[in-house]
Amino acid sequence: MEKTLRVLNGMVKDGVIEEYAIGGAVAAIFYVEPINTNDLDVFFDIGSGGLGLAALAPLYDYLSGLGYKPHGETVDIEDWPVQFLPVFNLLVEEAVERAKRIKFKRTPTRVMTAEHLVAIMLQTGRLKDYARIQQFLEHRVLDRKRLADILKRHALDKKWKIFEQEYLR
Amino acid sequence: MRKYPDISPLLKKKANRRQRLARLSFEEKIDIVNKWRELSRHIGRLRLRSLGTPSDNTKQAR
Repeated sequence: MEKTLRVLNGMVKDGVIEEYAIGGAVAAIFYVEPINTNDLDVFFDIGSGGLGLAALAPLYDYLSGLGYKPHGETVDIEDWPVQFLPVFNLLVEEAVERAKRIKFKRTPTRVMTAEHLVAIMLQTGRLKDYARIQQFLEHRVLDRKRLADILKRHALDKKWKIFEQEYLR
Repeated sequence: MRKYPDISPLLKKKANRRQRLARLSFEEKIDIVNKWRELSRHIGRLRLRSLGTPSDNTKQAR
């Protein structure tokens, strides 16, 4: 994982991507107990570089040049299949912008905050997302005030109420 | 009427274990995930090997 993160940091340094943040299951693992996952979700901002999946082309070219080949929707980087996801809405953009700076061993990286992860899971709304939100609540890793603010700003507060009624009673 | 055992101590232990796991460092948690990934790969390889030898199964069936 550390080597994978070094490659990601290299992409930022070389200007291939503006900034990135780890999301998905690996980010959730930072806050709750380990979850069985096979890939690393990396959300990145392409700035004004382009729209759509064509934005992934320079990124894939860069990685290919380093010997990391794509397999389906992921690129194998140092033993981790990495799924690159360009920011696709305001919530994800904010989550990347405000990601937490951490260190994995000696390598700096960025992980989405617990509150942004929960908001994204709520927005995505699959059963596994709801189950994961419950883990965040059980482990008391959320700043409820901060979460409420994010949910309100991204018009997810009603959906949260429905989630509470259906799954937290 | 049938009496069932009280498993609440077991459930409590389970919950405590999950809390303990959640408190591990990020690096330690990723080590656990890496072990699971290796195990899944090993199981996958074993499954492929067993699927890849239909003639052996035929022999056994005989």
